[in-house]
Amino acid sequence: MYPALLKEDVKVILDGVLTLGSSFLDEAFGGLVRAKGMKPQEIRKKLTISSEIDTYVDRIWSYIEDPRNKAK
Amino acid sequence: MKILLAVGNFFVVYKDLLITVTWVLAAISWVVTNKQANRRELRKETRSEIDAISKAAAEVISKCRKYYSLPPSDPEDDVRSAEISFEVKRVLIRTERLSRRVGKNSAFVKAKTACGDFFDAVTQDPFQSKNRGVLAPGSTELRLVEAGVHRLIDALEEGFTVAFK
Repeated sequence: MYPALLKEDVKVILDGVLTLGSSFLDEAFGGLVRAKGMKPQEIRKKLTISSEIDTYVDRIWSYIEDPRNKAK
Repeated sequence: MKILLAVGNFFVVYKDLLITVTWVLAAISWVVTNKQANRRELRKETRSEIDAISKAAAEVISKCRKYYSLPPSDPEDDVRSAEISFEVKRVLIRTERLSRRVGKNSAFVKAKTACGDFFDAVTQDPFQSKNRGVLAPGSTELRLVEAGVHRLIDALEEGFTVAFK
């Protein structure tokens, strides 16, 4: 996802997935900040997350904007 | 006698108006009764849905206890974790649907937040990890699951109280 985000806007559709773990979502999305050094505001501009379950979307944004990301 | 004539005249003069007023009152009472019946029905349905969600969430605790009591090498490990994930997803979907349906006054806002904590607690690392160890019932991870479930149930109960106070 990171290389794609560098080039263009990305839309992630989470529907149709049976299992999603918080550890996976944190790694995949929070990792953009922690491991790749992207800024949450920058991700907000380029990334759209779609899911029939609002909780997934809310959690993903909380992982991205988690202030502990900077400390990690 | 004069009074009787006056009353008689009143009914003759205002006959049409009185008929209209009668219909209006009947319509108002029908609307009020209907609204009250709908609210009673919604309250009953919401109560049952909250009980069902709470039961499903509580079952996640016992499923997690069983899941973490055995090593990931157990042949049923994937089945157990898939069952937990399925239950978690159902709890999230049902709580969000309830929140949308009965969400006037933002009654279930806390429940939606609690859903996130519940999801985090159950599916956090080491859930579905093949390197995880066996966890004791009193372990931090399982206590977090219990705490997440308690918060969700409490938030649902509070939402019910706010929605139907």
